[in-house]
Amino acid sequence: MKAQRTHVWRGWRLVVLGCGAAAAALVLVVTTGSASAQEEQAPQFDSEYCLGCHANPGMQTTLPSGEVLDLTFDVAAHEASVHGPYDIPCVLCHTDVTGFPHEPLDVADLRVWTLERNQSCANCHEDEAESARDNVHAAALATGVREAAVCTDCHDAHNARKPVAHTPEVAETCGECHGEIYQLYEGSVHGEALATGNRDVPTCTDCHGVHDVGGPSQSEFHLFSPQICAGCHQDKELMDRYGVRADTFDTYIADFHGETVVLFEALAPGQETNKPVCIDCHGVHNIQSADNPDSQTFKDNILGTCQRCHPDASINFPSAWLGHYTPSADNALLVWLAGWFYKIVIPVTIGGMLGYVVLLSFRSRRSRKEAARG
Amino acid sequence: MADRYRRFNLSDRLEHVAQLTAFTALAVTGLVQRYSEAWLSRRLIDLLGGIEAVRIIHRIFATILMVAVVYHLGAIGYRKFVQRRPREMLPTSADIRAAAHSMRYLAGREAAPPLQGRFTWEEKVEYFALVWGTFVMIVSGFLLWNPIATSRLLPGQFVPAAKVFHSGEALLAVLAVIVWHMYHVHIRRFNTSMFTGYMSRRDMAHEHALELEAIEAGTAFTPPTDDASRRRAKIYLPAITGVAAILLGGIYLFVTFENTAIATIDPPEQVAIYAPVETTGTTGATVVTTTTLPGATTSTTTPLGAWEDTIEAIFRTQRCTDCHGNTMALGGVDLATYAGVLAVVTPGDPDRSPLIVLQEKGAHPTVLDDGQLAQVRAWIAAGALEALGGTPPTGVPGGAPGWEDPISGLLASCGSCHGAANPAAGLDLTSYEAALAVITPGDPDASRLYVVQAAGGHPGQLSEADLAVLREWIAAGAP
Repeated sequence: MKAQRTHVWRGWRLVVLGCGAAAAALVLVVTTGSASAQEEQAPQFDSEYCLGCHANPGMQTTLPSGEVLDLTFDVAAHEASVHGPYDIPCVLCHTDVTGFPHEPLDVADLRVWTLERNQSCANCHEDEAESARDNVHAAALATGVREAAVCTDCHDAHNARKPVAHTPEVAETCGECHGEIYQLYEGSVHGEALATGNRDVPTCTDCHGVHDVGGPSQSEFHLFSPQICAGCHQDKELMDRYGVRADTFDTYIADFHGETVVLFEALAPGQETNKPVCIDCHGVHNIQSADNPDSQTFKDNILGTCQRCHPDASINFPSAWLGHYTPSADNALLVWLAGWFYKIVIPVTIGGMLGYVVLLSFRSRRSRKEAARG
Repeated sequence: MADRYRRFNLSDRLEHVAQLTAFTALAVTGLVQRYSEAWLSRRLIDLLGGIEAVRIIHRIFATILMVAVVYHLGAIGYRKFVQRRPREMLPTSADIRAAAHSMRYLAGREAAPPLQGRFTWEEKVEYFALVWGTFVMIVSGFLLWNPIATSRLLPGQFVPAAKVFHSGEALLAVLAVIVWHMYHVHIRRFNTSMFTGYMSRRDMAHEHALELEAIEAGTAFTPPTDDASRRRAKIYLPAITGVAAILLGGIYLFVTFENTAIATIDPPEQVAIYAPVETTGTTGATVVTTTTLPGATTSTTTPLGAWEDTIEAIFRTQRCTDCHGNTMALGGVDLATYAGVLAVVTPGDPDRSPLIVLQEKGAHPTVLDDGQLAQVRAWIAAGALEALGGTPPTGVPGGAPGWEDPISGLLASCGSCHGAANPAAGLDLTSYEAALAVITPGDPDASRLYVVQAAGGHPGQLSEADLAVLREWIAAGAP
């Protein structure tokens, strides 16, 4: 309901802005028109006017870099885009255009042009722009990495689209720049399922966020990541569909690794730890089922995975980790028995002691009363 | 008969302080790990500097506790071998009888609690609970501290089992201290002898009646001070120093036995973060390749049209007229009217028509598609008729330009600099004869007038259409 209202408001906002721009253009027309009365007729400065030229195929200009900037506006693609239903004047985004003939285009290459024009998106999409302000791409851009993604790199400009969550479209969009990671993801248990039409599996944005995408190499992300995995892997109904246990997060934090990571996350999220999170053992973008012989957690591969952090580990070492099992008579019998030992010994011992001292204190009081009575 | 009797010497009391400190510190730093999700645990962990700091503190006090155990073993040996004390702490049948007496007392079948000696059976229970607990904690602690060594010799399961033992035994010990020690030492009677070293005669009478009786009868044990005990001490102290050194070495090994894990974790994946895929269409400004138009190869198959029924519509629908005609006539070109079009068209000769020349070069804001271009070419080649069945336009006979019309007109404005009155650079373009100084009839590319204009950037620059006409005129011999 809330999302819908936002959507409607956004539509209205566009209309309001559009009217504002039209009014501004009208004022411009009136004032300049009266100033230069001998000019036949001041151009009507609306999208129709722009399309007079820019709807024509083949319009282009060569930038100083030698790259060709396409100047043709694809009307059909725009109408099919998310902006299609709204009558958005060209100059709402092309704020640099003040009339015809245009000022000479002063951009060195295509990327400069994209980065410059991209500023306009925030005029309407304030929330998204705010959310993206500190993201990993913005940070890279600030350090001079011009390739870092901006709005139109993911959404396109004139044929702007909103990628639908949990679809291959999301992964493909990210994959345009993150090609190697995309290839790894494609071959992962999640990526393969996605390609077969599964919509339960995570795509890039489910783990990394959308506009607020953070740097995965940051400690914060590393420490928080188990909770991202748990978001799905603790969902019993979801896990039952695939025969995957839903207690993997609980069993993880029951052990030193998980306990430490969860505490670090809660108390010192920026600090590095040498304890592994899910992806350190299971793999990151190439994550596989532990039943897959290629998986780092497949039973024949797990010692090597342990040895990445415990170089001296030997063949018995992996079984010191209970493999996400809660100890039972079938799994980790010794641990299960030890647990039961204390489940019995503690209540019996402490109960006995407590019983003794309580009875003794009553008895002593009675003795003292008897003694006082003589 | 004294008011109070000495119960613990300085060594005993120091041991107790070490035990008290280590036990409390271990209990706090251990229980916050056992219950790490509890709010209070989180606060304490934060206060102590984080979980890794808590673990280090835990290990430091574990080491202190183990050193205290070594000292205790030395003290026991001193009592046994140097002082030759009778057994005081080991349980005897008297303790079992005393315990049975206590139970009968609870049941009301005895009028008074049992009379006991130097250590009551309750104290012995606590002592052996401590001995057992410390043993379990040290062994399980070793397995946890050195999991790699453990799993070399034992199944890996021993490590998590050790954790269960360590954690369970800790809880048992803490609860036992709270219930048993608290009641017997602090609640029943606030016993300060472990700190002062003395116990009042009154308390002795209550808790250690048999010992009090022996002390007052002079039959209690008193540490010997004779030469024989001094001789024994001279042998025992170096010997126990050696044993202690070995045990302390054992503790050092315990603590430094293995480096369980590396200090910094490797990145889980080595992959290029930025690896763009070669596609287009992702940016607002798409790279496109320039279209090259393939001449008039289709002209023979194109149906002939005339201005009014075909060509005018092409220029209008392709929106040529948006810039060239209607409200604007960019570059002086008007493609909305037949008369305007004739300025950029040479009837009968498409290749000499500026319109065609320009379109075939491509890169114009609006480019006609191949079919349309072929149509326009065919129309021009057929004489650029206004209407089907009409006659070729007059005034442009044969379509060939001449000096009088239109070249002198084109160059009229040049005359303001290159005129008869003030020929800049000695050039006068207002008369045919003078203009021939910069014209090589028949060869535009050798004609300085054409070359300078074609290079562009001249103060008085001809439009492309005019330039095409100029070229055509020179090529035709500049008539």
